Amino acid sequence: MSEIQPALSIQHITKAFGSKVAVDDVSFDVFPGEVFGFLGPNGAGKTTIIKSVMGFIRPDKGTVIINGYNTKKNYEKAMSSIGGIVENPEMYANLSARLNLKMYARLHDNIPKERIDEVLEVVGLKERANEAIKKYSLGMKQRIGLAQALLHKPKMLILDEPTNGLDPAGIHQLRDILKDYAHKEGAAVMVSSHLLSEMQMMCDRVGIINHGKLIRICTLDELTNQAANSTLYRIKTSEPKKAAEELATNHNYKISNISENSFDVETDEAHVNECVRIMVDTGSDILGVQKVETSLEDAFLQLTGGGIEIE
Amino acid sequence: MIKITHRISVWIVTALLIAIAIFAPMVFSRLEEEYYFELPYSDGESSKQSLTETRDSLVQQLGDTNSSIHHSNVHFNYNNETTEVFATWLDLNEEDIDSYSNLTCINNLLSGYDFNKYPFSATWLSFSAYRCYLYSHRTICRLNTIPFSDRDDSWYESFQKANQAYDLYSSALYNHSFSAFYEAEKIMSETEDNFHSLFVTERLMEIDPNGELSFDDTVTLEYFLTQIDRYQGMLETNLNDSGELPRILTEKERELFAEKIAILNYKFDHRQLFSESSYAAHTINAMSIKFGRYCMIILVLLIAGTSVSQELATGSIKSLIIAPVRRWKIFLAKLLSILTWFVLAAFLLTGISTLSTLLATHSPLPNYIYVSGGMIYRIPYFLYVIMSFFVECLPLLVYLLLAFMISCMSKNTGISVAISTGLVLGANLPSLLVNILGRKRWVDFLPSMNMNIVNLVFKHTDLMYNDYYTADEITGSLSNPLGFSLIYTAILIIILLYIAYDAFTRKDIQ
Repeated sequence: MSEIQPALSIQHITKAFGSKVAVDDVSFDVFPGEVFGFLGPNGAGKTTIIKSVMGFIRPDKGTVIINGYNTKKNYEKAMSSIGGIVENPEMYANLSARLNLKMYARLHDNIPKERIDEVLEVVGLKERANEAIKKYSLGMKQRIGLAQALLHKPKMLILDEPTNGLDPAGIHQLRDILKDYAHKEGAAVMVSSHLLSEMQMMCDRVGIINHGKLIRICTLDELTNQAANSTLYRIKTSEPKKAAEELATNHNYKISNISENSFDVETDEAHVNECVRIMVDTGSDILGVQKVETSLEDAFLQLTGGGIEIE
Repeated sequence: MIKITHRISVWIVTALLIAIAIFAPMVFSRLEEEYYFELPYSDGESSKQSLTETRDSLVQQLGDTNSSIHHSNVHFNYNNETTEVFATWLDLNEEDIDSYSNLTCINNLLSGYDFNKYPFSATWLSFSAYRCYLYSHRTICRLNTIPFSDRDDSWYESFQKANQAYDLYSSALYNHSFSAFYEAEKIMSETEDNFHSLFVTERLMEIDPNGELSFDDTVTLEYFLTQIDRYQGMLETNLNDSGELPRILTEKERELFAEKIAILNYKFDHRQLFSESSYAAHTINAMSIKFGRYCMIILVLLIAGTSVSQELATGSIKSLIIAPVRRWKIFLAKLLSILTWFVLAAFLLTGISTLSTLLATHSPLPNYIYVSGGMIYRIPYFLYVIMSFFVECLPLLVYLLLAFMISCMSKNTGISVAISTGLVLGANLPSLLVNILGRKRWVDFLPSMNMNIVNLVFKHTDLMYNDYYTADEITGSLSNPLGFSLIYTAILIIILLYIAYDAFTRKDIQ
């Protein structure tokens, strides 16, 4: 990992607004070819960090290096490798999508004319490209924002809540676009979102921010596995209490979460067999055996202390 | 239902600007024509008609004057000689004197004058001669109100002169004789009681020995010559007598007057003396431009004031920030686009207005003539209008930059437009107040004292109400000298630009 140059390298970024420290010495890297998830409760500092990277806010301390270029020393080269959406994408409402894209293309070097059509095709807005943006629905505006972000084929794509306003088909489509862009085109994609289920399906690595500090950065699997203290198996049966008692008292299995038709037993893959055998021997019926997956939500809430901060 | 958006309001104001530029000259020229007073007696019949009406009204007004007029033989001591003179004493009050005198003159004219040959206002000579004819007779009548016992040698001298002048003016009028007119003027000039300046008459005689120039043309000539006379007079006496009390001329004034005389003579020699209507053309154009200027101010301030703040408010600034372009370049681009609007609007206004004026008045337009380093230069009219308008807009540029600066600092699109428009319309108030209350040193540094630049740069304009000299006279200099004002304005512009640049470049966009 250390030989590959990161697409984005954030080093010791600190930003305070007045007396409140929004971002406190955050550093991490995003590598090309991966989809990086950026998670955190409201007010954790995600948007502030993203804005610092994109040039909206000046961090008090720290450096941002994009594709090898330092934003302070080589601003224009650095920024030409980055693209993205911050909060809701806004464009000139009275102009058409095509015209907006054309104008935006002028700010970059060498974007061929065909690229605009290409990118409209990718986001699925080709038919309505000549209408004024004020007539678009929220979902369409998100799409055109994405189109704008992709226009100059940035090596680093940053998206802040990109699924906002999209219908399920749209979300699915977006997921595919982003995964393709990262895995096939070799770009780095950083997505910040609250929809943990979505993130779970999209991301390769995640970073978790809380109170302006970076708490954890690891792969998705590592995160979910770590949160799980051990493997649990859920056994469905018609008489859970009886079976649970049997396993607990006579065989020292840890039982939890006894409900009407199931209970959880702490065991691993090698020994679940034995539990089943014991149950069969003692006359319980087995309706189902399933490994309990710790969800990202559980992991997240655990790590952030269930924190939903209300500012 | 039309939503009044920013875009629509800009279009509305632009349309208004263009409409004003087109129609204002036409409206003003109409007003000029109506206001331009109908000269009485423009042809023989109407001259006679008009005089008859005047006579009748005077007769009614005066009533019976027979009892007020007394005749007597009086002995006069003049030059140590005693003469017996048949003298008249008029026992009438002030206004009746004038009416009586007019009545006598008119009666004489109605019985002996050939109106068809020389209608009164057809030429300058006949109209002026008529005025002087009345005037000198009035003088005679006034002299005749002095009781016999108070009449002395000096009275007699005046009386003789007035009579001489009266005879000569009659001759000038009846015979259309310029030389008689000139003689009469010479006599009257010695009495300090003359209607015309002798200098003016002499020059007029040079140009127009037979007094045939039309009234229109000669009034302008008269104006020019009177100006030259006035400045020459002041240079000679070294006294500035246009204020309440005469005062010694300053060095600056001496220079200025010498320049003005040179320019007026140049114009005179090159016959760049326009008839009344083309003089009006320039006035009309200037008025329409001044009028349209207020519209332009609002337009330009609207655009400047909302340029950045609207982008901040709607969030479309994000596209610009994310782009790989340094912020100062974006700032410069916005600034240049506003300035381009400003320049285009200025050209639009002056161009359309001048064209419209040309169409409305069908007359040639004056060139601007000035003196520099002892040489006389000429600027053609179009160029002059545009240049002077730009100089006039220099303070406007300051307001524009102020609006832009506030726009860079705040999301609120209304605030920058409101502040800058308010200042533009009300800026002169404080300086006027201070001037009335008394001029102090620190007042010199107020912005509005330093932004009245156009009058300093173009000090030789034809327009009377732009007369630098007059403004200076009334309030004791409304502004500081040119160099000071320019530097002040330049510094102001730099400060505003810097603050705007800094605000925009450092802004944390939330």
